[in-house]
Amino acid sequence: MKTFTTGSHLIVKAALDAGVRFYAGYPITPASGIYSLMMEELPKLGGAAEGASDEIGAISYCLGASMRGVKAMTATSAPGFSLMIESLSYAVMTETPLVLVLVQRFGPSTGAATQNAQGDVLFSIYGTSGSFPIPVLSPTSLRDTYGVTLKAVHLSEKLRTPVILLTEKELAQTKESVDIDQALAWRPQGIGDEREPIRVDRTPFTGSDFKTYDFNASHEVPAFSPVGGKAKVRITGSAHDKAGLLKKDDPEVIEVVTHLRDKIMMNRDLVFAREEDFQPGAEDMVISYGYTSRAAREAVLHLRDRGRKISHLTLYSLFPVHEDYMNRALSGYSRIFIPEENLNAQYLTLLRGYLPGKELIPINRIGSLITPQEMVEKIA
Amino acid sequence: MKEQFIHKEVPMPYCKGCGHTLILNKLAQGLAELEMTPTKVVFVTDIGCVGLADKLLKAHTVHTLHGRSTAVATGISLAEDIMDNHRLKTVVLIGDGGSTIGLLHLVEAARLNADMTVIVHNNFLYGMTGGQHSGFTPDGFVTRTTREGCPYPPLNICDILKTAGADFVARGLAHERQAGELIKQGISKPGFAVIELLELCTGFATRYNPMNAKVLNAISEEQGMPLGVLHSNNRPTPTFSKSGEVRFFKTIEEGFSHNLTKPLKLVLGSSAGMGGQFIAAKLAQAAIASGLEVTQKSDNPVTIGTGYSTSELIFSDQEILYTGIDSPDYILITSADGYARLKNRISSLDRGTIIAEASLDLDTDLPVIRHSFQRFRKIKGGAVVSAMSFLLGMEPFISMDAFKQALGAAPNGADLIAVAEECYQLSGKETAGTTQGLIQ
Repeated sequence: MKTFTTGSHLIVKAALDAGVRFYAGYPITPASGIYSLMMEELPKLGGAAEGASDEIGAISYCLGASMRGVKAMTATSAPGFSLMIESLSYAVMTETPLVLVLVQRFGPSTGAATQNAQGDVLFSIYGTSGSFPIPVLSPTSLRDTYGVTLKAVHLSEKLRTPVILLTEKELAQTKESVDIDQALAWRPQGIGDEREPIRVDRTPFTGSDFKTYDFNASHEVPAFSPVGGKAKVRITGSAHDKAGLLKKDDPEVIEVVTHLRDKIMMNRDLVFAREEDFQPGAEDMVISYGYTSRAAREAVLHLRDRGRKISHLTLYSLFPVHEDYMNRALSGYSRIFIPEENLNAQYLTLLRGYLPGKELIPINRIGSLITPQEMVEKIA
Repeated sequence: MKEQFIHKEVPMPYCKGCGHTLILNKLAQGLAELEMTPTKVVFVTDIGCVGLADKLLKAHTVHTLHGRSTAVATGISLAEDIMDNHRLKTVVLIGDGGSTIGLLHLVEAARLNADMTVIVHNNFLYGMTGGQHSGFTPDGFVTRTTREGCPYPPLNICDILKTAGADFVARGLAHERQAGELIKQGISKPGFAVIELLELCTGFATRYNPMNAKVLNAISEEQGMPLGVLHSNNRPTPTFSKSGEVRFFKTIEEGFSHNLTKPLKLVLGSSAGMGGQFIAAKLAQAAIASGLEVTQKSDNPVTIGTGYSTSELIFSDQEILYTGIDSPDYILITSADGYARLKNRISSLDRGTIIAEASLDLDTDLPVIRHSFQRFRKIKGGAVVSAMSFLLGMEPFISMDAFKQALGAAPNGADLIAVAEECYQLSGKETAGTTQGLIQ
């Protein structure tokens, strides 16, 4: 059945289905639609939604609720995200699940609130102190927004981490016809064949001697117990041991912090999601993400109509980069085109470090959507 | 049974004579006397010496960022409302430095009357970083960064939070017995309670300022900071439960056919208050009900009640990928604002048909079809419906019945349908032979 809706609606629908029951927000174009919908719908499901006095408050409320055991989400755009960075670092250090929807708009600074952009890719990936890894996912259209958002919520729970759902003004605000049954059924393709379920709940710790940050192998995710639950919980954003007690000059601190890296990087199979549209014999490939993927697909179809062989890889997870997969998938391709609506080829710059020797060709523009024609001309 | 709230075996981390030690002991004693359960208490601590308390406390502890303790505590407290058996007590331990940097979080928590007890450890300076002055440093008080005495009056946190809506406001001296009583009263009370406790930092304040108990009394008097319970109220705490059905997606039944074999791109320029974006969505819904795919992008100034209002629509019998419109097939202009907005764009086009309000003076080489759409402007959305019906008369890519059905759902549907019918008829007569021939 068809409906006429926006990406904001599908993000909120997915979050609620996945069990998000807390939202705190601060209005900012183009993320305000998500805030309004959450304020309207969450209380009907027994959840809580509240406006904060700034984005620092919004993310802090969410982290408090998440520590209490309630799945939490917030949404913002770059000016608000800038204010949230301190607490995003805190979420990483305290291993607190959170989904942060970052709806990109034209920057820098206040920029242009109602103009599209993909300029916050590196900001979202490397924005925190120490650049500790945070999974970054990105939907491309109404067809995949629900499935990618579900995955974002699940990852934040499974890995006890903040996850950034990186999207754009165009997806959040453009109204489109979509087959709603298909949109709700679509799931991103990961490494395995596992289909993302609708909901994954936290398994609270039930044993004795709870330690907030306990793990054996570095990539393991510590068990969760809520503040206010039966086990006494110690949470801190300062350097700490596995029990959550402040420590310095202690090998266990280094072990805990190294684990913050490893639990994301070594679990990248869990995060990774893409769609392959590979053509045998093609020597050129387009790699795209986010809203630009749509024009990229149109360009690829157009080129094929003209008899050109070309492959298309759509990435739904931007970080961590799955180095093994990328090297495998790209072997045999001589030219890789990466369209991005930013001035400085941000994702290309990131990928370059993982793909030594590959010819990566940027297609960039700011101020308006990159057109399929521009891509066709560059590739042809 | 009275529970212990302090690990007696862990040594106090504070300097000799520090008020923080006195406050912690009074707090632990108060919680025990109130017969609280340790797993039903969470201490949310701020940065600074006050944040060294965590390891001493026998309850849940959350050590936060500088100034953010109250905001994280607000999240815990708001989430508590949606728990089945909510009775977790949130206690915030914050200094005057944390209260300075996080003042807005305190104000907001007080405004919401979020259930928590905030104990402000006010020793008038930043102790952990070397004794710099804070927003709470009294007029004339000497610190490392105010050697001649602080030239400004201190923030009066009790007054600020009372004004913001705090349910319980009290001030005491950390070393006096009354401080323990104030803490107990604050914790016993549901809602936002703040207890400001004045103390002297033995590490820094006493280097530069006279050190005796009377100093605190003098500050209290001279700075207009009275002691005792200053305010008590019984406002409700935040609640969220709401009845109603969650309905996200209004589905659209397919009941009509279309005549489109390639995408049709349309740009509408109108004014705020003309219902342009709303009517554009109606046309979109009609097209979806006719089996087409549609995208709609709208734009207007941030002050939505004035100036232009535009919508860009793509209709297609195929999946729409790229949603930009570089070369529209039709440009509908129903007002001067709409034309002003689209003028530059129109001048760059080499194809497309303009359907414009007759009274506008247009500067273009493109074919223009004019009609008085504004004569329907007294009907909300009327001018835009009129222009769109004109378009449908020229370019019947969907049926008028589909458009009428979509319009029927509007509050003034009957009026809009009448406009649509009239203009559709007129369009057929006035524009015969002028279409671009998109539909073969």
